[in-house]
Amino acid sequence: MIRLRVVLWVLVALAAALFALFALQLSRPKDDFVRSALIGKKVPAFALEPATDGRPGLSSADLADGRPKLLNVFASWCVPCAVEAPQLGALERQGVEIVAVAIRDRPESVDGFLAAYGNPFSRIGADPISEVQLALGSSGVPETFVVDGRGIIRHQHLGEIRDSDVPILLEKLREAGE
Amino acid sequence: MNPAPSARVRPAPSANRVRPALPAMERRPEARSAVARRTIAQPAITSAIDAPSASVRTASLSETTPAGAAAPDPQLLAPALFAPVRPAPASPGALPAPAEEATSDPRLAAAQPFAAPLFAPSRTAPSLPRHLAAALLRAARTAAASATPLLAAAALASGAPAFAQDMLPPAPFAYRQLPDAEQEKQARALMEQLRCLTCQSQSIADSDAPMAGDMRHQVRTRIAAGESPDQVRAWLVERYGDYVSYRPQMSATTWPLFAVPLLLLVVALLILRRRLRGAR
Repeated sequence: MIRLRVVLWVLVALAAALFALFALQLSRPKDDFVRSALIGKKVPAFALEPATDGRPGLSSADLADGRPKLLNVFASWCVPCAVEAPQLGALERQGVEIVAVAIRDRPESVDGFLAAYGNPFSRIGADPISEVQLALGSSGVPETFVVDGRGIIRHQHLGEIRDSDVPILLEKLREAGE
Repeated sequence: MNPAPSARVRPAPSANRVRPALPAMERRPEARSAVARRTIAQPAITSAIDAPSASVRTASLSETTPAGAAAPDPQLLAPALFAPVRPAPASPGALPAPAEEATSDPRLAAAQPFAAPLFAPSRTAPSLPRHLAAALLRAARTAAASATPLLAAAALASGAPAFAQDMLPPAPFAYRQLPDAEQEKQARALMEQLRCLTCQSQSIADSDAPMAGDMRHQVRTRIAAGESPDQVRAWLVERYGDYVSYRPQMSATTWPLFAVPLLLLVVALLILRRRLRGAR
């Protein structure tokens, strides 16, 4: 009889634990972001034509030139990319080298975007069929990767860079430079 | 119209609150980017979207017990949430009148013949599902009605660049089939098992998002170049994790999903055997 009672309480505890789990998971905000699984791995080999006349194109070799840098995945049609432009500008003024891949974009659109929101990029590759974006494990725009001097991806930032993200990225770049 | 591209925004804290009210719309890429555009539109709009959805939720709760409710017909209307399960002689005054809208809504009225035998042991037993359904339906309707114009306004406020998006043609093999029928069949089967990253409940075969087209192009060109479907899948999983593939994989984290049902079956058989023995 006592044994039965214990068993029943165990069942009650199990059910309570299950509902606690439901409550916990339901109260968490949903995270829609698909993160790249390439963190800690080398940037896949690629070579992209310039996206605009003003800057050279981008290849994976440029990302392994010994200096850590930011790789920004953006597009002129992407509104949050315009939102993060001031923060990218601030990073560039602090001496961060930023290279970019423009997704599904035309040169004139890229030019217009850069004229309107500033051009913090030293190189911009054109990716008209999201080839490099897919190779990087990037699932949308904007995204920003921290790549170290050997071309290894150290960090991925999803979504636009906000003011509060700037110190985080600087810290990740510092770590990547060590 | 161009299908919306894969622009994304980190959900502002308030964005999470908007979402539950728009479950169906949220999956549509256009709707999502309308939400995305909101970041450019000023916080005033954010709070405007939030406010009604929050009030809708509370309203839907209070509406279930309307103040001036007519006395319910116990034969037709469901008793209150906490009414006794056994058929009780109804005393309309004592119970809060719940489901007035249940019968006033023709869709729900039509659903009742089905709902009743399923959920209610007798005609006077509490039909909680019906009660809830009425509240939910009402909440959904009001939410959709109040949120849609606001989202549209937010989209308009963000201006022309949003509509000039993504005018590049789709990747060559986004919509074109491979010449080799056998390869196309393989590619097709694989595309149905790969998740669209911008519209996450669809496969890339189902989605018209530009990025899904670019993924189809990758799948087709890689298969045309002689890779096997499993190699292509592995290439994507290497980049996006298991989440990109709909086919379940046994791994260090997923094995309990496969093991637990087997374990439960064994336990059930053991218990059954003991019981049958005991019965003898």
